[in-house]
Amino acid sequence: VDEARVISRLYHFHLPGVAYCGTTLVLVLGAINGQNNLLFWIFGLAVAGLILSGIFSGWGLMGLRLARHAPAVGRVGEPLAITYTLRNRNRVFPAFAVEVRELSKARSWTLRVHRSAWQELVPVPATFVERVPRRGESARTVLVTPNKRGVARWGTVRASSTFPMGLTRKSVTFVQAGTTLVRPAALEVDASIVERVRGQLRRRERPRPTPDGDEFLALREYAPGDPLKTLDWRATARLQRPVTRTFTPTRGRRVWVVLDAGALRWAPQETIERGVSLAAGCVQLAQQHGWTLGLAERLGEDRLRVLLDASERAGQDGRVLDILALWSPADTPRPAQRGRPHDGDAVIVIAPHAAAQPGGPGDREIGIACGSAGGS
Amino acid sequence: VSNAGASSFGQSLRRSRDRAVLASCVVALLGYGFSQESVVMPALFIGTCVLGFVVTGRERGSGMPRWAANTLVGASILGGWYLVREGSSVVSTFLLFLSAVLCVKCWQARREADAGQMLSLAVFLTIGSVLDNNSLGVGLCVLLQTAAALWANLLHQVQATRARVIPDEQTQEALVSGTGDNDAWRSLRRPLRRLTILFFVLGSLIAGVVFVGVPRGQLAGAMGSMAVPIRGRITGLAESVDLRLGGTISESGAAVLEAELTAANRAGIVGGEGLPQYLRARVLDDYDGGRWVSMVAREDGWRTYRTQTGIVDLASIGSSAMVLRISPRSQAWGEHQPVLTLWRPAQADFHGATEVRFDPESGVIRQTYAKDRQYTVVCVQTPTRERLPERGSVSFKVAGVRDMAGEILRRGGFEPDPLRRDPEEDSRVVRVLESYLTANYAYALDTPPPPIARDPTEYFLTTGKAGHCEYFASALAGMCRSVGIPARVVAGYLANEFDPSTGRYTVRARDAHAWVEAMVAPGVWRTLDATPVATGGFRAARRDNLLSWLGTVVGDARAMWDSSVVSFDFQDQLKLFGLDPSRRSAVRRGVARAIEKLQRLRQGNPDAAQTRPVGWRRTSTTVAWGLLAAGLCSAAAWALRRWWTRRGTNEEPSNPGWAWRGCDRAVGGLVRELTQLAKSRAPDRAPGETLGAWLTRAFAREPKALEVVLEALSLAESARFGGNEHGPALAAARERIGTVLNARTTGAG
Repeated sequence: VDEARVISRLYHFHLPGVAYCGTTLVLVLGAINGQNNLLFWIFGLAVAGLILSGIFSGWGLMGLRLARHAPAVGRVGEPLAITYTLRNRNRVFPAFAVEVRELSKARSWTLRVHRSAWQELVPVPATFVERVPRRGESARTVLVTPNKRGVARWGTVRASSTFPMGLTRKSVTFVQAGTTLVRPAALEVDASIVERVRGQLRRRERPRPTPDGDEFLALREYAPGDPLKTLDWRATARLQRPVTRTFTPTRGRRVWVVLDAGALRWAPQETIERGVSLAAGCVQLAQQHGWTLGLAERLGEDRLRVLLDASERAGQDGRVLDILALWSPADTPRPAQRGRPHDGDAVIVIAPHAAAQPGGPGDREIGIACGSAGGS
Repeated sequence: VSNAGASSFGQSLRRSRDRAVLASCVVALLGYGFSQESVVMPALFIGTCVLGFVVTGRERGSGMPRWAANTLVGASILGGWYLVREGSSVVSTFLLFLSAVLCVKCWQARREADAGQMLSLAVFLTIGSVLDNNSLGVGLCVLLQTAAALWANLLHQVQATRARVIPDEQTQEALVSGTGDNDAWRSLRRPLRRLTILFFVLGSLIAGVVFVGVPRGQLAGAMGSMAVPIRGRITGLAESVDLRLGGTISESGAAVLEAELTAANRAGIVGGEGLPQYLRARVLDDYDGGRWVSMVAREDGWRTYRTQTGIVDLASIGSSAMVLRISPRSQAWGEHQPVLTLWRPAQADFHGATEVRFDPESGVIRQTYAKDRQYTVVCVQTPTRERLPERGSVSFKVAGVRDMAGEILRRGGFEPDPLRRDPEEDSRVVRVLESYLTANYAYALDTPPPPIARDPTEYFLTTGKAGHCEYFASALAGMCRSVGIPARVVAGYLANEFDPSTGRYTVRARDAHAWVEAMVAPGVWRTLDATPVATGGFRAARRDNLLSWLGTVVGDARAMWDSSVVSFDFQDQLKLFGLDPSRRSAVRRGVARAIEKLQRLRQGNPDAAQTRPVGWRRTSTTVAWGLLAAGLCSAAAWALRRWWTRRGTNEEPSNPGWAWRGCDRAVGGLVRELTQLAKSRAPDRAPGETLGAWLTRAFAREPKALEVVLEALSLAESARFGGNEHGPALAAARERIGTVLNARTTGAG
C-alpha cells in the first residue's frame, strides 16, 4: 500500500500553551522586579521547557509517514477495520503519544483544500500510538461501525501529538485517497414471504414457450395464446401448420426485488432506509435459497426500471448490495440496464405500507409483498 | 484485538502517571514546608494527600463527590480572604490555599483532567514557595520538582492522549486493537525514562545559561514588592525589633554587602580577622510591649538633604574619624533604607545625585534612591548636635526587669538607685549587667514565641533564659534603663568575615545583629553586646550547637548555596564573563545618563531630571505593568477569538448521520428536494436568486403548494442552526409537500 502524502505540518497553540507562556512572562517580570535568583532559575527552566518542547516535538513528528489500509466494502452495523501504519524515518528521535484521526477537510501548504466524505457514514476513525520507534514502524487497527450506507471517501488524516510538554499540538497532515462502499444492513424478511416466493417459483417449473428462454428445447403445435414471435415460420411453411418453438426455462430461480421509488420518494428517510434494509434482507434470503436475484425500481404506475438484471454470474449478490448502498428514491437518471422480469419470475415489492395514510401512525411502516411478474 | 492486554497497558500507564503526580505533590508540599520553615502543617498536608491518593486510587471513580470538593475549595478561598484581612502575608496565605486545594484534589473522585490540574497546582505551589523563600531546602525542592513534574508530565501526555482517543476503556478499548500490553508498557517506560533524564540535563543546562545570562539589577523593584522573597534575605535593616516573633532571625548566608574601613587620616585599613565591626543601621530607643522601635521615626524628626553631587556634610570631622565604604551586594534594598555607619556619620558621599534624610538625635542617616549604589560614610565617635538624655531620668516599665537589675547590682556591690550611685560607676555597672547576661543565658535561634500575657523581655530574663541577640539586647537595654543609665537597642550587622587579600568585610544576611548602646558618661555612648556568641560569629555558633558532622555539611551547603545562587548578582556575572567588576559603575552610569536624557526629553526640565530620578521609576513601573497588561489582554483576546471562531464549527465531526441521531441529513435532503421541485417547474434560476424566490416563481400558479414549500424551506433554514428537535417537524413538512403534490397530480386539490 502506498504511503500517504504529507500536505502540511502545523503547530496548534492551545490554552495550556498560552497559559504556560503567560506564566513564563509573569515569572521573568517577577524575577526582574524582585531580583529573586531562584525565580530566575525557574524562569530558565520554563524557557528550557519551551525550547525542548519545540525542538523535540517537531523532530519527533518530522519523519513520520503514514499509510491507511481501508477495506473497499463495509456494511452498516458491522465493524469496519481500518489499519494505520506509522513509520518513523527519524534516526534519532522516536515519536510518542501520537494520535491519528481522520479529518473531514484540511488545507495544504498550497492552500488547497482537501475534503473527505465519510463523516455521515462512520464515527470518527481515531487511534492512538504510544510510541513509534526511530527507524521503525507501528500499526494500529481501528474498528468503526458504519451507521449509514453510502460511499465513504477517505482523504486527509492527521497524526498529532502534544508530547512532551503539552504546550502545543504538533501535527502532520497526510492525504491518501480511498473509498469504502458501505452496504446497507440486512433486515430479517418475514417467513411468509419466503414461502410465497417458493410457491411462485414452483409454479413456473413447467416449460412454457417463451422467447426469452436461454436455450432452444423443441418444436410443438401452436396453441392459442402463444406469442406470434415464437412461431417458427420455416417449420410452419414446411409442415403447413403453425409450429411454435419452445425454450428451456431460465436456469435457477429468478427473483426480482422491486423498490417502489415513486411511493418511497416522499416517505420519511427512516422508511426509505428500512425499505433498503429489507431489500438487503432479500439478498440474504437469495443467498440462502439459491435464488437468482434481480433488482428494479418502480417509478410510477406502469414504469419499471431495471437496476440489475437477474443473472447467475458470480458476485451477483454483492452487486445488488452495492447498488442498494447507493440507491435513493429520487428520480435521478441512471444508465439503462438490460433485461426485465420474465413471466413467472417471483417479484418482491417493497413499498410504504398500503394501508398507511400520510401523517397517520403507520406511515413509517414499510410493506413487502410477493407476486408474479406476469400478474398484477 | 486484545482487550486484556490493552487494559493492562492502560492500567500500568495510569498507575505510573498517578504515582508521579503524587510524588510531584509531595515535593511541592515539602517545598511549602521549607518556605514557611514549618513542619507540622506540611506534614499534615502530605499525610492527607498520600492517604487520599491511596483511598481514591483503590477503585476508579471513588472519592469525595465534586460538589463537596468544590465546597471545600470555596471554604478555603473564604478562609484565605479572612487571613489576609487579618494581616497574614498574601503569598503565605496563597500557598496555604494551594496546599489545601491540593489535598482536596487528592480526596476527590478523579477524572483524567484532574491529574493535569494537580500537576499544575504542584508546580505553582513550588513557584510560590520560591516567592516566599530562597533557602537551600526550597532550592532542592525546585530541583526535585523539576524531575518529578517532568516525569509526571511525560506520562500524563501519553495517558491524556490515549484517554482522548479511548474515552471509555470498558466499551471502547475493544475498538482499537494493538494498543499495547505489558511488554508495550515496558518498551514505552524505558525510553520515557531516558527522555526524562535527557530533558532534565538539557533543561538544567539551558536554565543555567538563562540564570547566568539574564542581567541582574535592572528594573529591580519597578513593580513594588512583587516576588521579593520575604525570608532568607536581609533582616538587619528591619524597622523594628519584635521579640514576640520568637526565632525569626535569618540564617541565610547570602552576601548582603561588603564593607571597607579605613582611617580618615589615611593610616590604612582598619580591622582584620577576629576584629568584628558593628555596623549601625537603626537606633531603636522606644520599648513598648516587647517591641523596640525608633522614637524619631516621625517625619519632623528628620532633616532632608537633596544634593546633586551626592556629598552630604553633616558634621565636622575630627582626627579619629573613620571612613566606611559600603558596597551593596544584594538588590533587595527598599526606599528609605538606612545607611550603615560605624559610629555617628559626619559626611556621606553617595557618588551621584540622591536624597538623604538624617536624624541628628540618633545619628541615623537614610538614603532614598541610591539603593544599590556604593557609598562612603565618614564616621566620628563624638556626637556634635545630639540632644542627650539626662542620667537618672530614664526608666524601664517592666517590673520584673527592674527587680532583676537591682538584684544583680546589689549582689555585685553597686547601688541600683542612680541618684545615690556615683556616676563614675556607670561604666562598670553596665559591664556587670552585660557579663551577667553573657554568663547566665544561652544563645538559641529556635526559641518559641513567648506567651502573649507576659512581657517578652521579662519572660526571657526569668523563665526562658535562652534566645537570640534581640532578647539579649532588649534585656541589657532594659536593665540599664532600670538602673537609670540611658540605653538603646541598635540594629545592624556584625561584620566578622574579613578577607585579608581585599581588606574588606563580607557581610551576610545571617550577620544581622542587635546590640546596645549605653551612655556611660555625658555624650559618651558605649557599645555593649551581651550575646554570648556574638564575637565568635554566628556561623561558628551554629556549628557548635548542631554538634554533628551532618550539621556542618548542611551548614556549608547552605553557605555555598547562598553565596553562589541566592546572592548571585551583577558583579558575579561580570566576574563570570571575565569582565572587570569596576566597569559596572561605568555601565550603570551610562545607563543612568541615557535614562536621564530620556527624562529630559520627556519632561523638558533638566534640573528635574537630575534631582528627581523617581520619574524613571514611575515610568518603568508604568511600562512594566503596561507590558504585562498588554500581554495578558492579547492572550485573552487570542483565546476569545479562537473560541469564537471554533464555536459551532466541527472540524472533525463526530457522527451527524440522520439514521441514528442528528437532522443534518434531513435538512440537506429537504433542501435538495425543494431545489428539484423548483427546477422541475422553472428550470432557469436567475443568478443570485435565493431558493425562496426561486420557489415563489416556480409555484406562482399553485398558491397552496407554494405555502407548503415555503413553510418547509423556513423550517429547513431554522433547523440548520437548531438541533435534533427539528427532525419531526422536517419530516412532517416533507409529508405535507408530498400530500399536496400528490393531491394536485390526482386532481383533488
